[in-house]
Amino acid sequence: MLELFASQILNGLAIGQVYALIALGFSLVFGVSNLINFAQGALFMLGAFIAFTGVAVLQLPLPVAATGSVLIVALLGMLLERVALRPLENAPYIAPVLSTLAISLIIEQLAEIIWSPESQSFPVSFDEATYYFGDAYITSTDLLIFGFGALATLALTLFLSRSWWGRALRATAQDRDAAAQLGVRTGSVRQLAFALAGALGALSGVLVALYFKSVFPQMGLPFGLKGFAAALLGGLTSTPGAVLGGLLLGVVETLASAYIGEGSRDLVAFCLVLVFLVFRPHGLLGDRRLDALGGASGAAGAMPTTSVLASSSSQRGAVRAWELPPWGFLAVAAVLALLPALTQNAYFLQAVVYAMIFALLVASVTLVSGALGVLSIGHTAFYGVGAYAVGLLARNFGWPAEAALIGAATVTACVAVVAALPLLKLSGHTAALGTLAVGQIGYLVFMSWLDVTRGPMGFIGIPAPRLALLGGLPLPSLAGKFWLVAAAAGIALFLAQRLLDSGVGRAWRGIREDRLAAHTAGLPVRRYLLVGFACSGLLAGLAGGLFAYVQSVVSPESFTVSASILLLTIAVLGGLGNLTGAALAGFALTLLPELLRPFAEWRMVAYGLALLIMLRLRPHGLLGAR
Amino acid sequence: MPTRLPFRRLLAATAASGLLSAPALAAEPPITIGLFTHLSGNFAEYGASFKNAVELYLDKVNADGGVNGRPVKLVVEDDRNSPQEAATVARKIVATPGVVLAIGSWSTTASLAAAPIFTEAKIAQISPTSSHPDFSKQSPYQFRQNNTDDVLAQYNADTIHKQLKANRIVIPYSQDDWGLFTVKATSAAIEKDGGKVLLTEAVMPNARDFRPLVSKIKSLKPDGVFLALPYQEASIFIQQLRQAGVDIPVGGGVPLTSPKFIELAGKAAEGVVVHSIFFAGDPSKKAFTDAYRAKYNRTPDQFAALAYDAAGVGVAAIRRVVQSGKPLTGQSVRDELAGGPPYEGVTGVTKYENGNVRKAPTFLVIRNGEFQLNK
Repeated sequence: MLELFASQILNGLAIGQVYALIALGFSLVFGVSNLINFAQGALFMLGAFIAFTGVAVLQLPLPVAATGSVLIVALLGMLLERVALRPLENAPYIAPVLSTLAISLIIEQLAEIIWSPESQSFPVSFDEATYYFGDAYITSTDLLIFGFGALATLALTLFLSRSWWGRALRATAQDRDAAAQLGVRTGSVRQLAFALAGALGALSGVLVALYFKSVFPQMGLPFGLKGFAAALLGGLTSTPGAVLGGLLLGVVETLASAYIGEGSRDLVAFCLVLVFLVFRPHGLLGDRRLDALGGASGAAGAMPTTSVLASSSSQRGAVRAWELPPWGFLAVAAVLALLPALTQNAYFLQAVVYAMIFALLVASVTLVSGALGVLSIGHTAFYGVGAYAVGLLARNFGWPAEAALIGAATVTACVAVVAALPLLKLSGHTAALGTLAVGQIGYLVFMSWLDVTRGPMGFIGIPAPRLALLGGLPLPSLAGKFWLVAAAAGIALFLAQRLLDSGVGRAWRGIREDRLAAHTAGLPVRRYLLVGFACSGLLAGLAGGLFAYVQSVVSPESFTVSASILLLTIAVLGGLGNLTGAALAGFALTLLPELLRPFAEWRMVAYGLALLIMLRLRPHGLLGAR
Repeated sequence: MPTRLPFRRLLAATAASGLLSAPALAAEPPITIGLFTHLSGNFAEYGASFKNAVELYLDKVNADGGVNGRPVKLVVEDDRNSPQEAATVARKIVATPGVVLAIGSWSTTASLAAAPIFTEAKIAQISPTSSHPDFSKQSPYQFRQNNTDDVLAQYNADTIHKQLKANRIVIPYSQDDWGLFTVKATSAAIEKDGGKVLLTEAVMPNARDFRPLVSKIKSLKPDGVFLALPYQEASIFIQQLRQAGVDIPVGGGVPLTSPKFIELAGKAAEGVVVHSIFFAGDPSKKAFTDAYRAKYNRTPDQFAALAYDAAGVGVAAIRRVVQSGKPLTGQSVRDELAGGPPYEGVTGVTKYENGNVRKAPTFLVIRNGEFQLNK
C-alpha cells in the first residue's frame, strides 16, 4: 500500500515537472508585462511540432531539431509581441489579453491545417531506460525533463538576478514608466521577455513530446491550462513558485487519479485552482503584486477592471453605440418568425434557429463581460447547465416547455450566482482566470457525472416542446421549435435591454468603470455583481434550454472552454456591453460559417484575425461598445 | 499522413464529381447517396477510411455503367464526431433532393443523434461501425455493417482469454457508449468463461498520462490487459505500460485494428492481439485491397472494409429497386435492404435481421509493425 503510494507520488512529480516547465513561461511574461499570455499554449504546441518536423521530415538529429525549434519559437514570441501587443501598448487594459487569445486561435487552427488534426508519433532515436525502486519507477526521459527543467530554472534565475538585461527586466516589471525614465528600453525588454517565454514554451513542448512520444495540435489548450493553473498556484510572478506549483498540481491530480479514479483528475486539479483563487490569490510564493491587480478583495483596493472600455472613456463619446430600442428585439423576432412560412428548407431553418440561440447566449456573455466588466471565459458552463436542466425537467419529469425553460433559466441563474461568489473577491485578470476555472469545472462535471448527464455519450431523447398555455400543444416540427426560439429570444432580449437601460444597468456600468468609486458612492457593489451574474445566468440558461429542445441531444463537447473563448470573441466583435451588437454578431457569426461549411477549417483563423484587427482599429466592436 | 489542405480536398472533390458525372452517364438522372462521418478533428483517420472506401466503390459502380445506366452520386458531410453536428448534417442530407440512402456515422453516439432525422424522412441509414445494440433498435430504418457489441464482447473475451491465455485481467475503457457497454459485456463474458476481471477503469477522452493507472495495474499483478480504448489513448497507454516494465499480454477490440494504432504505439504495439472481421492480407480480399492501395497508396483497414460493404449492400438494394420497376424512394430502398438476399462482401456475409448482422472474427497479432494472422 505504502509502496503504491510512494510510486504514485513519483508519478505525480514526473508529470508535475512537465507542468512546471510550461508554468515558467507564463510567470516570466506575467512578471514583466503583467499580461496573461494565452498564446503560451500555442507556442508550446508549435515548439513540439517544429521539432517533430525537424526529426520526422527533415531527418535532423533530435538535439539539432530541438535547438532549432527553441530558436524559431523564441523569434515567433518576439514577433507576437511586435504584431499583437506593441500596437496595443496604451490600449485598454484587457486588449492585449484578448489579443493573445486571438493569436492562439489562429496558431492552433493553422497547426491543424498544416500538420493535420491527428496525433502523430514523435520518433525517438535512442532507447529509453527505466529505473526501478521496488514497484516505483522513473524513466530516462523523466530525468532528461528534470535536468532541462532544473537547468532552465537555474539559468533563468541567474539571468534575472545577475545580468544587466535581467535587472532591466525586473525593473520594467516593477514599474514600466520609472524604468523608461531611467533609460531602459522597455519595448526591447518586453520583447526579450516574450522571446524567453517562447524559448521556454518550445523547450517544454519538445520535452512533452518526448514524454508522450507523440504530438497533436490540440495539445496547446489542455497543457496550456495546466501550465496556467500551475503558475497560478505558484503565485504567477515567482519563478520558484511556478516550479513548486507545477509539482503540487502534478502530485495532487495523480493522487486523485489513483485514489478517486482516472476520470476525476482534471476536476480535482481545477477545483484546487479555484480554492487557491479564493483563499490565497497570490499563490504559494507570490508576492503582493497581485493585489495591485485587484487580486485581494473586492471593493477594498484600487483596481483596474477587465473592461475593454474602462480606460477609453474619453473616446467613447466619439464612437456612438448603435443600439436597438428594447421593442426592436421583439420586432426583429416577429420578422424572423415569418421565415418558416417562406421556406421549407429544414437545413436553413435549423441554421437560423442556432443563430438565434447564439444571439441570446452572446448577449448573456456581454452582460457580464461588457456591462459588468468581469471578463467571462467560462460561459458555456452556464449554457450547459441550462441545456441539461431542460433535458431533465422535460424528459424525466415531463414538464411543459414554458415551465421547463423557466425552471432551467432559474437553475442556471442560481448556479451562476454560486459560481460568482468566489469571483466576487477577484477582479482584473484573476477574475478572468476564475471564470476560466469555473468553465473548465462545468465542462468536466458534464463529462463525468454519468448518472445525470451520461457524460460523453450525450443526454438523449429530449422530447419535443409542449406548450401548456395552448392546451398542451406539442411542437414536434422544426417550424414549431423555430417559433418557440424566436419568441423566447425576442422576449428575453427585450427584457434584458430594458434592464440595461434602467438604473440597474447604469449601476453596473458604474461598477465597471470604477468599483471603488461606486462603492464610495454607496452602491452595494457585491449585490449588484450577483444580480448581474444572475441575469446573465437567466439568459444563458434559457439559451441552453432552447438548444436542448432544438437538438434533442445534449453532449459536453458543446460546452468546452474553447467554445467559451469563441463566445467572448464574438461578444467583443459585436461591441462589449451592447446587446444589439452581441445579438447581431452572435446571429451573423453562427449563420455565416454554416453557409461556408466547406471552409470550416478556416473559420477560427478568420475569427482570430477579425478579433486582432478589431482590437487594433475599433476596440469598441462593430456596433460600438456601451 | 500527408498534410490535408482544404483546397486540395476541394480539388479532389471536384475531380471526383467530374468523374462521377462522366458524359456517358449524364443522360439519366443520378441516384444520390449521403455519407456523413467525421473528417476533421481527432480520430479523423477513421472517417477518411470511410470516405475513401465509399468513393472507391461508387467509382467502380459508375465505371461499370452505374445502376441501369444511372450514375450514383455521393454527398459527403463532416459531422466532426459530434452528436450536434451529426444531427445538423443529417438534416442537410435529408434536404438534398434525390437522396435515397445514407451511410454514417462512425461512432454510435453520432449515429444515434442522426437516427431520428432519417427515420422521420423515411430514408435508411447504414452505419458501418456503430456497434451498440441500441442503434438498430431505434426504428426499422437503422442498419449496421458490423457485429453488435454483445457479439463483439464474446470475441473480446476470446481474444484475451483464449488467444492470449490470460486469466486475471484488467480492462481500461473509454467513457462513452461503446466503452461502457463493452467493458460490462466483455467482463461478463470473461467471467463466464472462468476468467477473472481484477479492475476496470474509465479513461476520459484525450487522457494522456496513464502512469497512475499503470502503477495501480502493476500492484495488482494481473496476467493480461484488454484495451477498450480508441487508438490514440490505447497507443499512449501501452507505451506507458511497457515503459513501467509490465510485459503481460495485451488484447484489443475493433478500434485497435486501425493501422494508426501501430504507427503511434510503435514498438510497444508488438505482440498485441486483436480480432477483426477484415484482414487485408487475406488472398480472397485481394481485388479490394489492391484497388484501395492503388488509389490511396495505403492498406485498407477494417473501417474502410466495413464502409465499402455498406456502400455495396446499399447499391445492391438500390439496383434491385430500379430493376423491379418500383419507384425509387428511401422507403423502397429500406424495404429491399431489410428483405434482400445475403450479400457477400469483404467483411463477410451481410444478411439483415432487424438491421443487425453476424460476422465471424479473425484473430490478428501485431508483428514487425504489421497485422498478421495469429496462429
